[in-house]
Amino acid sequence: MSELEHDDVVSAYLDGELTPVERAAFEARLAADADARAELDDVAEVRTLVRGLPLPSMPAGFVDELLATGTADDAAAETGDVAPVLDLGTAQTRRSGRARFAAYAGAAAAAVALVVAVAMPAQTSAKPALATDVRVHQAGAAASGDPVSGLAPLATPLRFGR
Amino acid sequence: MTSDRVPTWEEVARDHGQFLYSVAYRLTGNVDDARDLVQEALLRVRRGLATYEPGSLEGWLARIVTNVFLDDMRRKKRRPVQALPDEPDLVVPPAVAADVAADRAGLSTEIQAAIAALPEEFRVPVVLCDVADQSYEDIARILDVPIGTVRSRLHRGRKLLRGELVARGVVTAGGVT
Repeated sequence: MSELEHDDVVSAYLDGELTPVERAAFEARLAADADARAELDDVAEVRTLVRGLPLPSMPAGFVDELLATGTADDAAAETGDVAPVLDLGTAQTRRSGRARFAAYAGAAAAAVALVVAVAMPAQTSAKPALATDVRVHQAGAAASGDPVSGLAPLATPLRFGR
Repeated sequence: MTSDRVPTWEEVARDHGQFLYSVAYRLTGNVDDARDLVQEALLRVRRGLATYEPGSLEGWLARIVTNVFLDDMRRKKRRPVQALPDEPDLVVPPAVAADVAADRAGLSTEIQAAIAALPEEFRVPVVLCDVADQSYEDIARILDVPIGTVRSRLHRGRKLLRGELVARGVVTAGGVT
């Protein structure tokens, strides 16, 4: 058995990746070879240390941030707008992940806003519905003695977008 | 994890975000790069879910996050000189994970540093095997190399890692210090 093959077998043995025949042969070698046993111990120790590492803590709110961005992306996809695909290759000037994701979410949110602005009735068609609501509310407020609602009709124009 | 059902993207992010982050953090060695890696990986997950065939979800996720990592490494090698950051906050040193801060004097910080010091050729198989718990066959598929290559790189990676740990005083010839 060459040195390289011997090396390979040590880790594969620890990981349970040897065939029964290979395992039996290696165990026979271990019984007779102190160096092989020492190497097995060395590698097993490293393997145990790495496998015993604690889970790294995710930054606070990281999953919520991912979920929120995904929701915005879904909305953008429904509009047919293509949100910019993040490409790490463009990040040699290294914007942070947060900045890149914020840009991504911003683009998605802008697409949603555009759709809302287009899909909502135009201002001229919205006014009659609002005016009707105000009149109905005023009538109800007057009957219930609500002093604020009786001051003046709402006249704030509806604005969607900027 | 093996399931017959294709998960939603939200389920992947919520239920497997920690898995992705753990692999990403062990590969990159710092919080900011791990965040970038997970975010990019999840975008690829979103695009790939339509064609995902139920099976080992974590194997599939490990493949994606590894590919993102290797793609990024290749880009950095092609363009090793980085421009100055265009945002003032980026001159601040990378953030440190809470567990790292709490355990700065402990073993995990040193072990993570030793992993990060490995050449990526050996670091990736070690992380996929000992952090992502992937089989040699899965690692071979992820890296698109023969199983024999996985076996030799993984073992060599562990031996190199041991050398790093000895250099850092974490282990000695006689065992953990």
